[in-house]
Amino acid sequence: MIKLKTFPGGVHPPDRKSLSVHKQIEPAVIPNVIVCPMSQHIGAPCQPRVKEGDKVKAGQLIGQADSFVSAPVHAPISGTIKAVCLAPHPIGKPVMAVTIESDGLDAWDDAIQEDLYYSRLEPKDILNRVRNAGIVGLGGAAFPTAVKLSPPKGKRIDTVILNGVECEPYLTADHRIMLEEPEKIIAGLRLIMKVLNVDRAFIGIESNKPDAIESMSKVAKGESGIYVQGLKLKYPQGAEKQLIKAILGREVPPPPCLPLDVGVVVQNAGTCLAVYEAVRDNKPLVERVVTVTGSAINDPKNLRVRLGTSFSDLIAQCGNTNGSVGKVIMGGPMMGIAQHRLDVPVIKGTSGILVLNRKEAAKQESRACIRCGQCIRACPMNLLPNLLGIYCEKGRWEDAEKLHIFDCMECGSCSYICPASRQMVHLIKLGKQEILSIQKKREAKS
Amino acid sequence: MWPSMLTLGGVALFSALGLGIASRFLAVETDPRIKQITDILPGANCGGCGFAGCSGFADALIKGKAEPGGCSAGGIAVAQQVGNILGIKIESGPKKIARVFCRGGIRHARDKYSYTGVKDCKAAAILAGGPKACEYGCLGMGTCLRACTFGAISMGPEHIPVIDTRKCTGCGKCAAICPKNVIRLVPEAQRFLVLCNSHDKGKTVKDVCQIGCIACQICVKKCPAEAIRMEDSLAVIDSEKCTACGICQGKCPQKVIFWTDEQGMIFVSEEGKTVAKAC
Amino acid sequence: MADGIDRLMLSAPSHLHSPVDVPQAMHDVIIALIPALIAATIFFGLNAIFLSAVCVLSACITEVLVKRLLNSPLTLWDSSAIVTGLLLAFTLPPATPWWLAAFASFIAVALAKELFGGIGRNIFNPALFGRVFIFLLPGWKLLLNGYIDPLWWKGQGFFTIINTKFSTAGVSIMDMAGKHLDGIAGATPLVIRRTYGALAIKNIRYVDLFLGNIRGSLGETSAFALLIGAAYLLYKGHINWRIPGSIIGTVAVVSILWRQDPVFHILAGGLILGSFFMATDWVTSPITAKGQIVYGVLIGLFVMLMRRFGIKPEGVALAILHLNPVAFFIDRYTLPNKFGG
Repeated sequence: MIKLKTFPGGVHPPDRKSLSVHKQIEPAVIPNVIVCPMSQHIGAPCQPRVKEGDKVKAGQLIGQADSFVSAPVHAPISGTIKAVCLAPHPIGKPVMAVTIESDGLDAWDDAIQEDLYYSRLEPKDILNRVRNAGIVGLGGAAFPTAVKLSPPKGKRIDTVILNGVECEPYLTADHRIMLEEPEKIIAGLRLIMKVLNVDRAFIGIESNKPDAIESMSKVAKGESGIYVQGLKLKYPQGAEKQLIKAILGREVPPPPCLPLDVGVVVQNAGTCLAVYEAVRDNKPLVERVVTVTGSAINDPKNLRVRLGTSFSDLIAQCGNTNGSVGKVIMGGPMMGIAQHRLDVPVIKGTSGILVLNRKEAAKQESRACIRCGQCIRACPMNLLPNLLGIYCEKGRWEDAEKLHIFDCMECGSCSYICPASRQMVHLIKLGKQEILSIQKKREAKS
Repeated sequence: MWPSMLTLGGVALFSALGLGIASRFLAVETDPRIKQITDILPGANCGGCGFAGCSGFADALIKGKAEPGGCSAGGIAVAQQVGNILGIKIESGPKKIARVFCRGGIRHARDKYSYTGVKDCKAAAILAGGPKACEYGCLGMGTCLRACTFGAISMGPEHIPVIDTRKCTGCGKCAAICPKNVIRLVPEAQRFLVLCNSHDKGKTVKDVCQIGCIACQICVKKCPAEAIRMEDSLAVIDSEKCTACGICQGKCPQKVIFWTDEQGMIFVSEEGKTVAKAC
Repeated sequence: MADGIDRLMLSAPSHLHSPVDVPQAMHDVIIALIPALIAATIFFGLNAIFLSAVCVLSACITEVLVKRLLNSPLTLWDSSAIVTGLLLAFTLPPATPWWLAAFASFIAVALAKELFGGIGRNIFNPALFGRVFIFLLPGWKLLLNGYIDPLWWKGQGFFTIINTKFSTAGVSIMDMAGKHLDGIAGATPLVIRRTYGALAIKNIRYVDLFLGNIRGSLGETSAFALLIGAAYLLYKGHINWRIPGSIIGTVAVVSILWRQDPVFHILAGGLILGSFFMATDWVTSPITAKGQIVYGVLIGLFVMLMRRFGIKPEGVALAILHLNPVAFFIDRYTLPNKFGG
């Protein structure tokens, strides 16, 4: 019996994973048109390296940026470049994108070849392949993996944590890959450990996935230095800082500090799989597993999707919607972004597409704070969400800054638990935006 | 009874003496002009000057960090009086007031999604630019209304703000806070205005709003004074060239061009008849 | 857009919400108070239900009236008025005349709650405020005679609705028909102990104190019934152990230090009712974890000081009311350390 660890705070939203957890991963139908945004990651947006009319193969480079904190973008299908222009993006406003019209052949670039001797690669060559493959954190944050695996000189990393938690309700993509391809995930983890020169890794999995714990443990047993750690079921266990706190007991200091400041690097299970494929097959990141689910979807599935496929295509492949559709969310219900149009593409960070019916999506009218303190107990970062919400409501930006508003990771635990239905995350987003613009104005003046 | 009376009286006397001594010997030296200036200023502490309240502005003036014309709420009269105290001469300029450059309310402009959230325009704009289908349109949640310290803004029946031009002092707080730049300061004397904020092409505008500027350029061609130009698919009237003949208004197929009169009410009239009031 | 999809809904995250909201929490409190109401009926008869109904009705009517007067939107559906009325009724002596109970309820809702700005804005616990208010009126000593023997289960007066009359001669307890009920009024265990010393309460058995077979306010006597309700609230997560635990712990420690019986002090008077249902009120208690413990300790100290040195030996209501305004300051000084130091 593995002893389960946890972190202070957090909430217990309903699981809702039974809709799709038993569905084996299927490949999605390759669409006729793919839209590839140049910005699918944290960091500098890519510049298009193709123009209208060019012919491309799957896996070919189509966008790249010069800065270090960035990740290149590759064509997910073979075909002709239809357009290079602004296109709808799940973030809510149009972004520069490359539109590709499929030629129906799904022909792959010649550079994508299996390298049977990949295990002999030097760490810096592994890192190069990861960088060239455009891999970013697939848990949703989409931070360029190559940057994460290049800690600045002087920062010693002693542990890698594989994030197999997937704490958001409804989502089952990581769960399925841990069941179906545990060897590849752990091979990817090994490569990451090699790059960082680390010999100890923990795999964090929540207790609601006993089969995943078992399947990963079986493979981990054969590897030295890799341990599976069971975690108590609580949201947001999958958040980096909470994961580190639960498994190692270390607390990451507030921004601008990162996990590498406490000697840890955390990688999502899907990212590890992508790293393995990039290093072994030179395959760039052009597809990922997406859970299409929700109370208003007829046939929820876990699909292996080519990036750039539109949400409406995937919803159609899952039996379309039933009943009145309330919200379509990219990601999970606790932190995901609600969409207003369905012709947006799947991007690197799209872990799920949730279609909620009107009843489930309905929100109560927000009222005055009743000082119950539930949000304070729920906040995994030990902040005071009720006061942050009130200060942002009243425009008291300085007071909000003093209460460490920038430490908030917008996990949504406070909004979830508030009996008065106050929209804390919305107010905090507003507060952060205002404070940053005030700071910019101040800097511009001086 | 006597002991308590004496004690209380003694405490009061002691405190009074202490305060008197303190005000004499521990007083902070202040420039007497600060009080003079603060008395002249409107006293609304609107922050339109960019400083913390009227006394903050007075303080900044003495330190030379502000211009006497900085108080737009007080207007030219206050600027000249302040200038007198500081020994600076003031040139007069045209008075500016705020105008709402959008008429796309709930009747004419559609939403792109159904919004549940904080009833604040800035907050709503975080979610994909706000619920209005038109990217440039007024969101109608009243952030400008709440920002106005003079009570000059009220919400019209179409969920578009209405500005009472008699109360508006041109302080600019509403213009600064609007996330869509729909409220702007323009010279009060400007008679004809294009009440649309959209730089979208005509086809897009027609899809999202019934009364937006579709850049048909009829007004540009018909204006005898050549006072209208297109700025990125939006007609803009140059107030210095405009002769207020009204031809553009009569010809505009979308009824976007409006006329203001001395009382500040806005009418549209086609061939002299009042067709609609701006809400 | 995919077929058949109307305009989509958008909001900021989180898109799911816990099923608990204010009305639900209030309903859970009402459910938790039902065992105590049953116990009150067993010991004091139908009069208990009558007084509770009067208080609840008065509270609801007051809330509607005041909100109409102040042109505020009505929020009766959140059931907080019902909870206030019920809790207030539980703090009243069983022989309180119904008109006085209704008045206390009116004061509780109109002054302590609505005048401060409604739910969430009040500084003082409304039920306790109403109760203490009527006890501060001239003639409060007469109200002390409102504590009657537990009647009904001993075989008398289940259906007796008590109609206490005040006159210059004193207090006369009679039923609605006008028949005098003599010999049933008396002092509560705490008053007895204070007036006559420790020996005088030797005959009061723990089991009586625990089950409620003693004189006291309607809802405070039966520790057993109250603890059942408290267990339900703890299970549902509406209250946590910190405040009641620290109050009761402090009372126990101080009574041991003073060589008095800790079990007596915990079970007598309104301590259980106050610790689990009044001091834990969301709005008037501190929101930080450390703050809650400080709050509980201070209340416990106050209660023991009142019981020993106060004019009235009943301290829980006053203790909580005095510390309600302090709760805000306690919060200021017990902020949690942010994650990562």
